[in-house]
Amino acid sequence: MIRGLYTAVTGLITGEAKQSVITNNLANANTTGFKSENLSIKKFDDVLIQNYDKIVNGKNTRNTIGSLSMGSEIDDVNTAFTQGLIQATDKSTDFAIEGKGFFTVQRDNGIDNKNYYTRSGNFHVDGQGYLVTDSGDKVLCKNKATNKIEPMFVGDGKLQADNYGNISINGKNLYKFNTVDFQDYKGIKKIGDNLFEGTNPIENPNITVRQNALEKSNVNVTNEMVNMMTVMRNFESNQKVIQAMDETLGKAVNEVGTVR
Amino acid sequence: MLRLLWNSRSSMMAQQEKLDVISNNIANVNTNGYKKINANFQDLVYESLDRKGYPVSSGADGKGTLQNGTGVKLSEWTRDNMQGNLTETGLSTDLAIDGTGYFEVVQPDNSKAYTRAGSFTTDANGTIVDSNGNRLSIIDEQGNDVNKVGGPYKFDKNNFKVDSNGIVTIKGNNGDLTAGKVKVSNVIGDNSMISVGDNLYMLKTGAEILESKDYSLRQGYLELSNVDIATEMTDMLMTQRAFQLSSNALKTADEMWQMANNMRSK
Repeated sequence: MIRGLYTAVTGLITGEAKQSVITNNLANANTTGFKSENLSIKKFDDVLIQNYDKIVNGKNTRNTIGSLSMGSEIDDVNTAFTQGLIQATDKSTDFAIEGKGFFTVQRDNGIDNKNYYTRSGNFHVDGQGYLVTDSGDKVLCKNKATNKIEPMFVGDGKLQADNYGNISINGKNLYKFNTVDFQDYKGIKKIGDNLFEGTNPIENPNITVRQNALEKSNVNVTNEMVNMMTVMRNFESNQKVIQAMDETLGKAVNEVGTVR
Repeated sequence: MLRLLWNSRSSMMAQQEKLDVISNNIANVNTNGYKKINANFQDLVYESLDRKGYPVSSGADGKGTLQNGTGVKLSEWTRDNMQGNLTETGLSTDLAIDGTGYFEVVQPDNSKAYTRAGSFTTDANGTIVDSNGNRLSIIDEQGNDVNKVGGPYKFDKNNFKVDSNGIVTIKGNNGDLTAGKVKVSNVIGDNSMISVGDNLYMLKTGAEILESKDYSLRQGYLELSNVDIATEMTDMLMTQRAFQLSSNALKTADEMWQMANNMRSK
């Protein structure tokens, strides 16, 4: 009986974790370049249940009852890297990636520079004249003259880009976005500020980049809402199971064996 | 359970701030030279789900991705420096910049400010001033400001002309004289100016002012606000719905907590 209590509790905890992922998706329903997440739940590994209640020749012998799973556990958080809607804007520093791929940005953490990846292309020009993200991380580009990867210097120039991320500043074709892709999307980790962390990026220059456009979040609000309802009711069911167990336990403790 | 509430709370706060931005833009839909404010959302840091008391699959290969987000925030506000529409007013003291840059005005305390709103007028001292009495900088070939009290020229509504390069000519007794050039300054970066109200901008510390090269001036025109009311309205609807969504999620989290609390009561 007590075993069942704990089984129901694992259901409550995983339900809470799932709800937490859902609320984060809902919170980011308007975040540019956000990729929605899904928490998958699996059952605990089965355990073998046996007892010694069977009596053969006056001796208790082992009796296998069967296998039983003792609850549910968090399996994985999967990020859905599907395309978000592309919305046209009028800003020349807005970019959207169509299809696979990421922009590379450089974050200066005070000690050294670290590269991160993003799909959120709402850039602007900072006071030094570099193209940066909203959190001030420099957007990395390939300098066409030197073939070096470096931050893009715009200054007070006019920015124009074609569909492959080639960038002209004041009519001069100077840069190309350092767009990358990954072999294994499982290794990509979100770190906040719309950035991803990943290892072994593969440079892919054939990624479609649209200027004057932004990629919207790929969160499906209806789905999330329905999931939220499901999780909530599931939580309620588990709670009821616990209450039922509690009642049964109460009976066992207070009524079985009472002398009247 | 707290995490659920905090996620929704962060979202509601961010949406609220976005509504502030939108309403500010809508309020300035008729402000001359107004540049709309842009603000985007950013997700917050991620935290691991592999914590005490959480049943986590021990054999998960992608343990690094076993994390969940903690909500959303609104990013830094940036100005959208897109050109606003020009409208003809016919007033000789109205100037508009077609292109990049700002008019430089000198405030009464001699500090410099910058503006795109070109609805100037002339005052009793014969200087060209904006609606708050700040003087427009007009520089002659020697680099001196000629538009000042006690300056060499007295401007009135009908005695000067400004050409597309900003050269100001004034009617003298013996024909036209070149008085100077309207100073049009530019700054590197979309976010190097602070809006100080009254259509004026001030430089942020560290920002450097330089001469604008890519512009033409129009006398008798005004630049309108670059706010697109249709975009703002759709943004407002979306933000409002997102707010509603998060408040719903908050309510759900509250109900779940209530269930946990009521587990023992019946």
